[in-house]
Amino acid sequence: MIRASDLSNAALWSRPVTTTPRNDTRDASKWFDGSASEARISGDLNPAARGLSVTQHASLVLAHLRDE
Amino acid sequence: MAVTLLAEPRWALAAQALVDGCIDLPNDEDRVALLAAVCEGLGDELYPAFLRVLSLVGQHGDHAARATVAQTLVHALRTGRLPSGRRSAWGAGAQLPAEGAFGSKRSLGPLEYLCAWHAQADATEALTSEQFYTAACAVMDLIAASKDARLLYCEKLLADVNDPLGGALTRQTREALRALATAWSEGVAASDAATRFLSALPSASTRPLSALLGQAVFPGR
Repeated sequence: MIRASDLSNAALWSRPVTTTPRNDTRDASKWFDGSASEARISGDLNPAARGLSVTQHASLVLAHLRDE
Repeated sequence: MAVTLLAEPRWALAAQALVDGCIDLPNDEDRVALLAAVCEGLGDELYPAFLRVLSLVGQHGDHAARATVAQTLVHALRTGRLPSGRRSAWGAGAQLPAEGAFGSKRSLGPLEYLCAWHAQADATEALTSEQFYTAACAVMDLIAASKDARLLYCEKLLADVNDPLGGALTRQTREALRALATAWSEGVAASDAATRFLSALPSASTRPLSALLGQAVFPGR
C-alpha cells in the first residue's frame, strides 16, 4: 500500500533529472544513484487495480515512467 | 519516435502497479505478458527503468509483493521469456546503428544486463561497483523470494556463461558471472554473490571495489 508519506520519499529516490535525452540513458547515475527510499511496496492488491487486462496493467506501470 | 523517461519518474508507484498487476492477473501467462508489455513499452533505451522497478520491489516490497513477481519470473524462465533488454555485443562499436548492424545487439536478462553494464569497456557510462552492488543485490533478493526462481535463474546464468558464441559478454565477464551464479546456487546471500562477481573481475574494471568491500553503506543481507 502506498502511503502519502511514501510519495515524497519516492521523489527523493528519483533523482531530479530535468530531461533524459535518448542518448543520455546509459548514464548510470540517472538510474541507480544509491539514494535511499522508505517506500513500501505491498502485496495487498489495490482495489482500483482489480480486474484489469494485461494491457491496462502495463499502461498503469508505464504511465509512472514514460513521458507520453 | 523515441520513448523518453519522465522528468521525475514515480518509481514507487510504478513498482506498486507492477505488483498489483502480478497479483490481479489470473494466470502465469498473463503475468509474464505483463512483464513483457512493460519492457516493450519502455524499449531498449529505457530497459534500465524496468531494472530499477524490479530492484525497488526487491528492496522495499513485502514478502507477498516479492513472491508474486518472483513466481512470475519462474514461469518466464521456464518458458524462455525472461524480460530482457538489448545491449551491444561486447565487440560491437558504440557508434553502430541499432538496426543497421546485424547481430550487434544481444538480449540480456536483468542480472546479466547489470553485470554487462558494470563490466562494459566504456567506463564513463558503466555502473560503478556501488551501483552494481545495490542494484544486483536488490534484484537477487527479489528473485530469491522464490526458491525455484533462484535455482532456475542460476541454471540459466550458468548455461549462458558456458556459451561463448552468444557474444553478449566478454570472457572475463562470463567468468565473473559464473562465480556469482555458482555461489548463489550454493545458497550464499545476494550480497556475497554480488561480491564474488566484483572480485572476479580484473581490478581495472572494478574501480572502487577495495573501497566498497566492508563498508557499512551496504548493510548485510
